[in-house]
Amino acid sequence: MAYIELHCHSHYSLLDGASSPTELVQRAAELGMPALALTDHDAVYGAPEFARAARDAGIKPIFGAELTLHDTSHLTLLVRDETGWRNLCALITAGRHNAPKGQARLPDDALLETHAAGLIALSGCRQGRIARSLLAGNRAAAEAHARWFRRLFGHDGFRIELHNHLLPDDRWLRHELIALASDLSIGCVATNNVHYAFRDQQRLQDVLSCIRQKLPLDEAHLRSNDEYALRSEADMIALFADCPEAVANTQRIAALCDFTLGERLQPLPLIETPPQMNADDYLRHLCSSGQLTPSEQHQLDHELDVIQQAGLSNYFLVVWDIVRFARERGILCQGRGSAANSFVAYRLQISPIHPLEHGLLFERFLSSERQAVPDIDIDFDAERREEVIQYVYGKYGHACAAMACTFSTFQAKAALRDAAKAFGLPLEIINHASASLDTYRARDVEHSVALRETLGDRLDDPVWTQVLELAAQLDGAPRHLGIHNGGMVIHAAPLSERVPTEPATMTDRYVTQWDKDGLEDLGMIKIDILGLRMLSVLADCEAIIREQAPDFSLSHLSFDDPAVYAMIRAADTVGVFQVESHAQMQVLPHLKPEIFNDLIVSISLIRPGPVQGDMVHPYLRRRDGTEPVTYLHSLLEPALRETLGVVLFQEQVLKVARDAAGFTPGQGELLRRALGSKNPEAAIARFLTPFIEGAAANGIDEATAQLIFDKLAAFGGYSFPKSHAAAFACIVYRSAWLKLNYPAAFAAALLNNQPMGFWSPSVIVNDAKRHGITVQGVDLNASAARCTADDAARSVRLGLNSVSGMGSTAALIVQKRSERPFRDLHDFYVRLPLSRRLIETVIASGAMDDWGISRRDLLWKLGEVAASAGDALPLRVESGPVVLPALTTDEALRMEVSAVGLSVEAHPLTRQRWRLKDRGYLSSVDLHHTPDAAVIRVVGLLVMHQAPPTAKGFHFLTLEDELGMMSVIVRPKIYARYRRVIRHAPLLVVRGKVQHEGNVVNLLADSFAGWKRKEEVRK
Amino acid sequence: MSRLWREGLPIRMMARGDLPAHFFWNNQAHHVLYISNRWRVQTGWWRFAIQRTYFKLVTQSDLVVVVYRDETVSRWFLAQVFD
Repeated sequence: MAYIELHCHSHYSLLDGASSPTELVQRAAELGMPALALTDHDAVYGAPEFARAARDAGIKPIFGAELTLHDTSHLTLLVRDETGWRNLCALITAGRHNAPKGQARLPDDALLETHAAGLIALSGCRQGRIARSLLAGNRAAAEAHARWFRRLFGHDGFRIELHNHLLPDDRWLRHELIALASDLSIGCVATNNVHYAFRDQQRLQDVLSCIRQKLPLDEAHLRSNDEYALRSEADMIALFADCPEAVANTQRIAALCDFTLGERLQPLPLIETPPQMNADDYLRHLCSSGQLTPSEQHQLDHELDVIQQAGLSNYFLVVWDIVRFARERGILCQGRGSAANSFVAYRLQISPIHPLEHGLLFERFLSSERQAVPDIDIDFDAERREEVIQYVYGKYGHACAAMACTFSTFQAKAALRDAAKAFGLPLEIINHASASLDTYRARDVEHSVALRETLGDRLDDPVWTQVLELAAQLDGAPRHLGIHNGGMVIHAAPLSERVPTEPATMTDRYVTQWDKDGLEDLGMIKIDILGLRMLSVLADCEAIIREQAPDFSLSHLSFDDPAVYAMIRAADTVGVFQVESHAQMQVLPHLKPEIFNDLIVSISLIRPGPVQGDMVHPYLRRRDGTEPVTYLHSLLEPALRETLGVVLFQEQVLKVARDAAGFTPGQGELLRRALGSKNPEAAIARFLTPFIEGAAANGIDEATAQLIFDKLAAFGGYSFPKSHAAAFACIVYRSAWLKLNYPAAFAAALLNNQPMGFWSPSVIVNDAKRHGITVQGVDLNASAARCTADDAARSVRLGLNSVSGMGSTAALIVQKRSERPFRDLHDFYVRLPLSRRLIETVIASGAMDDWGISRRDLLWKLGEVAASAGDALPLRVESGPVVLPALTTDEALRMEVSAVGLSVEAHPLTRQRWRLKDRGYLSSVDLHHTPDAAVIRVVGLLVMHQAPPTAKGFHFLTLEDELGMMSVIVRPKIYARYRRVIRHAPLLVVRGKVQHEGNVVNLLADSFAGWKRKEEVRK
Repeated sequence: MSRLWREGLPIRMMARGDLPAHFFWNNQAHHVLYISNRWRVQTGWWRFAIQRTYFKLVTQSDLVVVVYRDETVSRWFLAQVFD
């Protein structure tokens, strides 16, 4: 006999389970269980992970859930077969749709009556109807419930569930349940209502309960002991000595559950095709219009063949239909990711990239050997993405279309705050501690240096020790459910036949209970309808340009303007898509892009992976000519010539495997996926022998073949899909072209679509000013709701939307103003129902400066206006004149920054420059002319601070002065010494050594200080 | 009339394995006839840990009592006597 746990909660019982499905499976396997059930609250969130972990551990997964019935009682359900799974999903869906977000409750018992087939029911915990009735002293009701369940699920499908958590009345309850079961000839089964894998996770479970109940440990309702862990067979036999057959019955029940959560494509709704055409025919028809070259025709035939064999023609038509809808409405969109490898995607106008022109490989996207469903990801204008999502919902219905869910997991701040609240610590201390955290992952909280500095010895206190320990244990646990950023699942039949859905926070939004990884694991296809703000920027710019040139379209641009590449080579790329980051600006002057393909390389090269894999510098040295371009074997040259012998693209892994070792493209893709997996060494081991043998057949000796394989192993994991980079490079070029040719429109569009990009609005404005664009501040009577631009006049006007807290009020102001301009503060106040706080912010922004009254005076006057406007009589009460001190320029600047987030006035250092120069401080422009290794001092606003995990403790700062930006490198020891100053000083003084690397200049910092006006603090 | 000791009255207990066998209270030895119930409390770990195993016993002298073993100090206590 083996005991099998049939009632088990993972951390997907959201804040009511302390272990992942994987941990539970591994513990069950250690305890010798041949099977395990997962029964989370009204959910199967964990089913994909559970299935995978059980397969890896060699135990049988039993799927189920603990359902909440309409009277809030609980019922444990286990799936016997496919029908049972469908019924379980339908029941969970009904319960979730019948309750507020995050809760579930079946609407009535009738649903249970019609969805009982294929399920085994266990009477549940103390919240089950039968136990509840007995505890309330109502045996008759308990009996009636038991009869009903037995009728519903059949004699074979219902059991009385027994527990023994060593609670004071457990023995009594168990005996009552056993007696009832005996009277009604219903079988009993022992479970442990598990909430964690190991006993010592009781503390974590208690903290989760506190988070869920929003109460501290002293007040929360907690389980009174640690008996809710997975138990061994010996333990359960001892605990159920009064009913041993209840333990044995677990195995009998497990044997009845024979459902496998298989991987299979969902049936998709059929796209309407012309008469006499099926989906295959229609797809071919759509792709075949116009003239094709012989190689294009060959590629098309090959791809259509593979697509048809995979049964995916209709899927392509579904995606084509969505893109067609968007284009008809002028919504900018383009495919990204591996779909750009497909010529069919190109012909359907899903992808902007002609794969043959860029040497892309279809098999990277789809092949007969690859056992994975392809995902097509499409970027849409972020402002208009909702129209596309609503189109999909409208066309397929909410029952058949849903977004993929996502799980928000505990990160450092949330974990620390929640754990500290559970311990009842004062809120001020919690706020102080969490604000000081400099780590992102919850598991690193215990080692946070910044936290230690903030709290000092207090951290050694037993309470804080426990807080940090438990905060770290929260790492990776799901906290709540969210919506994936665009993944939509479409199903021919109601989705709830395959996976439950539930309401999301947004109105009329429903999500599947599996996230994107779960959906992919189980073979379900989704379409990522993503919002890309840069597409909104491009759309806004097109609209502005079309006011003068109605036929203009960015799609007409060819990617070959030398001036655009010159600008990119100079790293003059603030605001330009993908190439504006600090890292990109460092590398672009070395890379010196001249053609479109160079942009593809730039996107693929400047990422943590290639940096970590030490690919960047070898590539740059070969490009510079300081290192010769070599190939481990001449057969590799065709695949690697474009990247000078370095493996940069995922497609190159396939090509090298093909050219060196005769792998089919499908086999190459399997190797590529293995290289990118979590445990690559284990995953690629099975490819080595075929690789060596294939290479030998091509005349490559074993030692060289091993070297080539090792190179693939070293770099392949960091490679990037060229197709994705190519699709993005289109946007890079177009955004760069706009910055070069319509800088005002580009700057205005960037400001209108914040938050986005790498740089703050302040940096965007200062960059525009350095390019000769006049940026005018917010003006109550001149600003539109959004920022506007005039490229002829080279000017940008900030919109009313730039004022903090303005939101949709901007449009209201514009509408009111169209009746007549605002005359004065009183006129503004009485015509608009705005809060006083917002009006103060509008005043502080300088929007009313045109009236010639100082902001301080206006703020004073606001009090009078508000008082007189509140009067019952229509009187304007004016008080006598009050003389207030004039605002200094600095005060006005600070006001504007607090209201708008930036200042259109001079940079804070403009007026200081003479003093700085006097004291020997250099500017950003001076840096370029300063000899290498010179020790200098600069002052600047800190506008960017990066500490990439791959940088081994180095920090990279970008400082901005009135003339440009400076790149500062900070070694770990220097950062540790000056961390406080760097994090808190608004203007930084940096002393360091100039480092020239080709056209790039950095400052290697020795020391930092905060700059104060009139005097500087010396360190 | 039953008696209750909120803080528990320390007693000397002879156990058989983990189970109470006989104990001394009121200058008398009381032999355990049978254990009618057993339960565990493990909580309060964030302040003062409470780890107790409770037993409801019937003695040969016809007493019904509740005793517990405090696992943190490995001692036995009398919690309640029923008349």
